[in-house]
Amino acid sequence: MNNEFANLVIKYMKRERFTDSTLAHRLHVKRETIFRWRKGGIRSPKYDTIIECADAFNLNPVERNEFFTSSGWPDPKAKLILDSQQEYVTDDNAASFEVHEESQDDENSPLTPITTRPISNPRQFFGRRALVDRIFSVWKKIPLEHVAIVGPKRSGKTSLLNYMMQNTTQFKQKYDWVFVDFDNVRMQQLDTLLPYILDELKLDTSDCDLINFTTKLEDDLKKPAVIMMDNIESGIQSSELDDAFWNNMRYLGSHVEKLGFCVASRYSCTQLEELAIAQDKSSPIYNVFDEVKLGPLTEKEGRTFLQRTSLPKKDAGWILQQSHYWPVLLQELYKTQLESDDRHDWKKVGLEKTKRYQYLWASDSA
Amino acid sequence: MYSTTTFLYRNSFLATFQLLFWLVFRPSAWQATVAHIDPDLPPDFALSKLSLKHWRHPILRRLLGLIYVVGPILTGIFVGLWLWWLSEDLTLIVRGVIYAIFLGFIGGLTCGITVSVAFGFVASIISSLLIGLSFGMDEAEWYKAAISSGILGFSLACSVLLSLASELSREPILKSRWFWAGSIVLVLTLIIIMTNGQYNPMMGGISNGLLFALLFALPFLLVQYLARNLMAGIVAGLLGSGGIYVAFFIGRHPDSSILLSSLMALAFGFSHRWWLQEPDVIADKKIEMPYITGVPLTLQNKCLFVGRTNVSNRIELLLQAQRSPPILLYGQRRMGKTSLLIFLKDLLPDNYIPLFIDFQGPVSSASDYSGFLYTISRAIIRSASKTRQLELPILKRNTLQNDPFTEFDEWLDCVEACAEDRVWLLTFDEFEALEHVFEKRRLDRNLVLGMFRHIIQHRPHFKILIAGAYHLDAFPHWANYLINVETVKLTYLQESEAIQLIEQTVNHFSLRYTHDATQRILTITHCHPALIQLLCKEIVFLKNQQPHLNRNVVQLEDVEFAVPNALESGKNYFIHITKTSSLEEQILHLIAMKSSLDSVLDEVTLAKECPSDELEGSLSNLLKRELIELTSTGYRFQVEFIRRWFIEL
Repeated sequence: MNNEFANLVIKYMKRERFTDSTLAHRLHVKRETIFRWRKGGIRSPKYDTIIECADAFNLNPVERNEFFTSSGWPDPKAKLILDSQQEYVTDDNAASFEVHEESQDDENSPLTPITTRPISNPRQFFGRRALVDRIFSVWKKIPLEHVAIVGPKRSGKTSLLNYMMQNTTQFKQKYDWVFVDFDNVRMQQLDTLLPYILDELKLDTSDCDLINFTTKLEDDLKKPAVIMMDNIESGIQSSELDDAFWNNMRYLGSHVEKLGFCVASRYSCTQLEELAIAQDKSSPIYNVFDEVKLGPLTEKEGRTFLQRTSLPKKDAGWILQQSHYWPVLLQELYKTQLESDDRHDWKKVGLEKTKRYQYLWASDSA
Repeated sequence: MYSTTTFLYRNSFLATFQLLFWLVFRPSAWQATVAHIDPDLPPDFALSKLSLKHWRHPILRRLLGLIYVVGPILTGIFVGLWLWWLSEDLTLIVRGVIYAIFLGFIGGLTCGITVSVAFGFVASIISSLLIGLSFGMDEAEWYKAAISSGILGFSLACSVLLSLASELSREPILKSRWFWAGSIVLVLTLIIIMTNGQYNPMMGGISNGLLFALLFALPFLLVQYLARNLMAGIVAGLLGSGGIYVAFFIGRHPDSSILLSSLMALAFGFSHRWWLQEPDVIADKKIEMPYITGVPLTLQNKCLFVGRTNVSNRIELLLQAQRSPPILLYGQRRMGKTSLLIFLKDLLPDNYIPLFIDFQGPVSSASDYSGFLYTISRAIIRSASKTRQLELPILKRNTLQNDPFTEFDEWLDCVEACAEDRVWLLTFDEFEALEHVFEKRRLDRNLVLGMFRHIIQHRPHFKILIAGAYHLDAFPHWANYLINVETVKLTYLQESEAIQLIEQTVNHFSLRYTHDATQRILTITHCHPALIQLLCKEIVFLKNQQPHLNRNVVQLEDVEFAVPNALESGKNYFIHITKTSSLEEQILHLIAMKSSLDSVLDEVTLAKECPSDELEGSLSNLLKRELIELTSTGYRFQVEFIRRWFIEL
């Protein structure tokens, strides 16, 4: 039993207001894993998960040291932090305060290329500032409005949703956030989906049929909440999520002023409508008036990304050009460059990798 | 651009100067500091609006310590040094210092409780410093200088207040109980001191600090609340404080030169906005989004609900009849039917109890009659509480299991007994959703519509209004049950109402439209409320990306630039309103390409391009749906925005 590690997990979860579900989602592990961490039932958690967990907990150097030691792993950033001489605000020195906004373009934090799964650490997210501002502008007042994020596969939709959920400075304390991934088979079933949503919103989960679910959201939702629905096309196509379910979601979207939806899909709103009609279901996006398209980054955002890497200028320029400013291609090519031993071949390898993403710039020109 | 990364000096004296500097020269730094304490706390917050959470915050405690303790002490030190430098005698120096300290402390505290902490700080520091510095003058000259200094300090503080006013600070301070508690204490203190009769520098400082501040605060708050205008409140406050002091002075010392010095002080204080205002504060300041799209308005968005009085008057007229028929509120999608139903509570007199039931959602999802009636009862209970604060008896779901219609009817008896002299208006939104349920045979049309007919015929205190995007002609079965339905059509806004929606949506809205821009919006949208909001929303997004010099005024080209963005982001709206048959789509495409705002497509050309037996029927359908209109010379789109959608399509 690893009691010290368990105690630290409990302490920092409480401080950062993570539940088992939200932390599990953030770290891409099962909820049971977090439960076992808290109970001391895991002697040696996975290293990369611990690294992500330390980031999620916003630990200062002393806390990181303690956390990693208790987990049995070394802190990969230990040397960097000692060298940077950063000062951390604690309760004691809060009087001589520094006032700063959380900046996603933190020039001090280097980027690690992430290509195999969505970005979950807000410090690794880059670009899309105007889009995030636009989306948050519709959630700043009551009634909350609804947004659709549309973009081809690997355009960064899930990363954007993760970023919005994790890095919402102004909203973090004031709003509740629910992440529903309809690719998860459990989210395609009413008897798991409805209690999950209510649980995330800290509402009573007993007696959870559709009518009670709707009534609870209408009557008991006190704090503004945003439900993020990723891969909504899978939800529409699910047989269990029938017309009655989508009908109710549409109703909730119209009448619960403190509830906002953010749906993400590789299909456009038109295609989602057609999909719903084909399934003889109500449109889930009837109340969505704001469709934002995820396309390539701007040139400035692309350059900002590369500034946070250690790439030489010439290579950076080549990567920008070949990537067409698509974030996934920037990451792939950057990763290829990092992993490559033979500098002359890495471009060839990179170009090979980009072939499977040609649909991205085809969709862009369409 | 001034960085929002700010820090306050550790040294308290320097930090106090820094705070004053921020407020007068760099308000964005003050705003960032307050936002760091609490993003929801407005930068012009008052002490009486602080919560326990705020009082516990170390940064706020430090700020207040600097403002109310260090600030007056610093003022006293400067006054003392100045008077000492002027070689005044020690007694005078001590009196001047004490007077300045207490004047600054009490004046600042009073303004902090009643108006705003930032305002009180600037007003008290500037006024008490200048008044203290002029302590060596003879009495009449000192009074003149003191009054002018007070006016200067307060007008400068008013200018600072104007620069800090934000959307967050709209909640009136008069609603805070702490404001009333604080004000009563202050007024009582003033009365005690003034009736005391004892004069010394401390009492003098306290009494004048209290008096001047209260004479400003009370008219300021009253006028601001009534006129809903900050500037009006400021004028009232300055007249109430400076004006009364000037009048009092002239009454005792007939010297009209005080008028000139007071006016100069006022002008100098207010001119701060022009010659000292931080230019980049404007650059940093994004326009807050006032428009709402996609969802019905709520009672919190009263300023967005414009017009419709003709419709509500018509509804009221129809309801007045003893045996008023059912009403159909009919209008295109997104014309504002649901919003109108929600706002009926304000549009109709109090003797009407509007009860909102949406047939979309749980009502039409019910799988049996008990579920159906249960959800209707829940909607009625919720609505009665929201609109007229009435607590109705609860109808339990299991009660409805055996004989749902009878139980529901008996429940309506209990409901009616809760307010016997009033009219219960059942408003059913999206009635076509219920028809969908009938078609799927989940519920029987005869039973359900029969129940509604029974209510109409046998419950004179209950009236029924159904709302939808379809005429009852499309649902002949309904007409058999809802006999003699009166149709009230909801159509486009009047031009004046549309202008109000565009330009005057919220107080302190920092966007101005040129005449051409407004006219263009009206022309493109045809005064359609949802399209106005859609387009204006894109205009706000567009303006926020522009440099500050161009940001606050919407020109004609901004409107044109925003149109494609609005077509893109509002795709979902256009998809729904333009669901047509393939022939109708073809007709619409043709008219879109071959007509414009100024031209039409004549019938002959249309018939040639779309040769079909069903042409006439399709045209009739499109006319009925108000997608197109027929002029004397041909067809064109009724709404230019929709025509552009078809071109893009």
